[in-house]
Amino acid sequence: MEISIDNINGLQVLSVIEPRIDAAAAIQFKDKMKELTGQHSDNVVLNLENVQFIDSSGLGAIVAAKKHMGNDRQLLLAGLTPIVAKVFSLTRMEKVFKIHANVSDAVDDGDKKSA
Amino acid sequence: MNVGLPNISLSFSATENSVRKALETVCTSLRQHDLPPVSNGVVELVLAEICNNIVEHAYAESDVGNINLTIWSDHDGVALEIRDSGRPMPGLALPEKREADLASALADLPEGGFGWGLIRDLTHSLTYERDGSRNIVKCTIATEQPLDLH
Repeated sequence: MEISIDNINGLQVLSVIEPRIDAAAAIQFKDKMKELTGQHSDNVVLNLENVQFIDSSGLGAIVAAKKHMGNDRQLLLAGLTPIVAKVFSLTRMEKVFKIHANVSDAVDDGDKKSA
Repeated sequence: MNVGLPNISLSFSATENSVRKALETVCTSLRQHDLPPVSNGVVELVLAEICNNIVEHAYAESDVGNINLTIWSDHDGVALEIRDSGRPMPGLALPEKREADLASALADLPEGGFGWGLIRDLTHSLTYERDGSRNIVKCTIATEQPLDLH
């Protein structure tokens, strides 16, 4: 599960390089996110602009990543492509996440020192 | 405009990687026909959810079987038929959409159970049949599926 790491304005920006977070990849994604976000206590932007497809397993893994980070940190999502957006919308999980069109907007949002 | 899809028929083993490869084959075939791109994504998502369910639940861990998939177009849209030889659906019925309580605390957020809700939201004429030792799931995806993000 290839995820590239960046740091912008004190936020960790994780960009998923894999085009799919599906049943075959969900566990690796979850484990990788746990590893990468567990090394610090900053807010995280998950950049999904390369991800063309997620299924419910992928959604579950993203929820797991958020849960692992706990209540005091934010996991912001950026760059949802059409099918990914559709999965979040139909399951209403879009209400649980802060979703932005791009990394720049997500970083601006996550930069604020608000709960 | 639907130019008429000939039958796509595939048989593959019920593992996550085989499902992924089968979906790739299906998407390639679909792209060769003039369905709108958003419908291809919807077909792929519905198939992924149905097949993942077979991988996880129909076949016991020690007993991998096959999934047989047929896709064709009719006046209602893209029709799918998925067969497997695994265990029957509990109660011989398809699960309902699970309405998650999203106002619940972070630690209680669901990480699963979304699949049948997605399938139900994206298809019509969804049926399940147990035929001898086989499960048969059928459904249709309307090709006019608009990309409205409500």
